Amino acid sequence: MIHLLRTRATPEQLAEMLQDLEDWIKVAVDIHREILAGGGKLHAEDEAALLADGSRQEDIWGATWEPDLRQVTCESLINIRPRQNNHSMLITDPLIRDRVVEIVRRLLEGT
Amino acid sequence: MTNQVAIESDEIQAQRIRFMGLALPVRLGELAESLAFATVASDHPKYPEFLTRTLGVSIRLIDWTVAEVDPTVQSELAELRSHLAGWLRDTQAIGDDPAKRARVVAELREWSQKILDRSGLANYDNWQVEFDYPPGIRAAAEVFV
Repeated sequence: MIHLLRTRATPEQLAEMLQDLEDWIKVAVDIHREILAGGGKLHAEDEAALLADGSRQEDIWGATWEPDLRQVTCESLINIRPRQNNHSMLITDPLIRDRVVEIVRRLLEGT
Repeated sequence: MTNQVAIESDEIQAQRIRFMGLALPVRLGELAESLAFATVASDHPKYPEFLTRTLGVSIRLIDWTVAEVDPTVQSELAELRSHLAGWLRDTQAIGDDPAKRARVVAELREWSQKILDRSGLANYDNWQVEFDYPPGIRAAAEVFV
């Protein structure tokens, strides 16, 4: 189930976001509004939730959170963005990448 | 037990239907992403279960894609599937040997890049093509154009 998070996820929200993929949560992060959508089977579904909520495409980046490792992997098909000079699935700009990781950790781990 | 199998089967069927609704380049892109994510298994505390899960996802995506790609990509996907199936049979041995783990990670990375190249999604010239993707790549492509 996809949740749009503006504050730290509750245990119930985390459980529901893990329902689809079980071992990891795909998320799309709006680095401007500092919110995320997570729990879709595809990053594009999470991205769609943010776009519907008013996010701008250029502010949205994809990542995957793995709860056992507490690891954020900033690699997603939606990150291929030539216009913003990102030509791979990885977020190549360290500032953007750090911001995505920080927002994911804050909203999913509460750190 | 029977019910559990039926539920899993329904879920996979739903995944397949959703995946088959994506444009072919995007399906290849999703496969590339799945292969890249499988590298996370290398450090995972639930290894080899985690590797089994991630490789299984990639194999399914290949099975749902292979019939529609051109013959060159078809043979590459067949080769990739064979590697994945081999690793799937050998997860415990791979987990016990750091050198093997590192080799699998490197090969997954190479295959991920190769499949992404085949998808055309990372090719700057293809970004004026409107892929039927809800909405991700399509929205990004529209912005780019």
